[in-house]
Amino acid sequence: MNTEAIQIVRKSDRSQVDCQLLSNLKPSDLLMVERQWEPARQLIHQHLLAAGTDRSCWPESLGWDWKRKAPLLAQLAIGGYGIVESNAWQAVCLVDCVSHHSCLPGQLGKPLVYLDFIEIAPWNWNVAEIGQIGIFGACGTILFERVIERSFDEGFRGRVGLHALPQAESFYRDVCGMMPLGKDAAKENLIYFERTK
Amino acid sequence: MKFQKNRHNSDWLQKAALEEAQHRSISVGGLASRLGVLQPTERGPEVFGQFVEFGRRRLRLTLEQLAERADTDLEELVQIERGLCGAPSPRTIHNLAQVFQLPTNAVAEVAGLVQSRDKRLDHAAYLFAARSEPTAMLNEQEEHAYQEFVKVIVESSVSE
Repeated sequence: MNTEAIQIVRKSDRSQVDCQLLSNLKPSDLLMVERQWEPARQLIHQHLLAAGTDRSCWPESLGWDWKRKAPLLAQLAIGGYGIVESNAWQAVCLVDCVSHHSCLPGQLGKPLVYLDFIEIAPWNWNVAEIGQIGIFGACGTILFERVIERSFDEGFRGRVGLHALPQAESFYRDVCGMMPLGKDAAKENLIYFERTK
Repeated sequence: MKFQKNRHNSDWLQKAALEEAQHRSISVGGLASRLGVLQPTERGPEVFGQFVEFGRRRLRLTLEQLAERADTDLEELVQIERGLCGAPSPRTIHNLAQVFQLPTNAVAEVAGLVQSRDKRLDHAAYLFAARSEPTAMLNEQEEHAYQEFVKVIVESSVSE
């Protein structure tokens, strides 16, 4: 994997911490990442249960289980990026550069980078219901910036598309400046977002 | 925010951390939707195991014969029938579907490899699991297998 020295932000004191941005992540690497994240997921799950938090407020990806999808993940021709600090995966993403095209008026049919998967480590999640603010910040935004860079590298002029989970819609609309193009029935009614330069 | 190689700029980084913290999540669902992870079925591998076992017995096949006919690893097949195989390989699914003369995608849905498109399948799977709980006495062959197994258990406990 190619590495790039970058920094992320420790939320508790706003200090910047050295880490690596890794390229050429494979879909099957997701299983290794998930193994590392699983104990933290379970802990959050237990705390949410103990706090009696309504399920509608739980992090939407809390119960995702990629283990059963290992054979399918191994067949996917997509790649991605990850942020590693002290041997711990802080965030990862996977992108598809061949299968998706723009739906934006004026860009219709032009190729784009589709953000297939992006997730930050559970210990970085903001879960107010159990008083967790997360350890490191900016991880997701850094990965998103790298995805846009990939779009330019591919000659796609910064075009990026994705289907946001409901709890993430405001991030992609307000922080990333993406345009919501409506619910996609083919993706379980998740809202499809797209941006261009 | 501006997104053009700003990640080495300290001000941008601090702003990114602040803004990201204002939002609940950054998760997307493309891959999760495609692979059926978004709304995971709570159906375990036991239902698929029972389904394969019944399919095999209807054809009056032993596990070895089914493994041969489906060109599948016997060990994997045993794990599947025992409900211990969380992720049968797509090739195994395809070959089993051929032997059982069923659509591959439907068999993949029962195995939980892909998301059920028809919610009736989930309900039917639970019904199948409930109705296939055996209540009949062991037949001669099962009784023999059971006794053979018990004999080994007893002998091994004596020799300890």
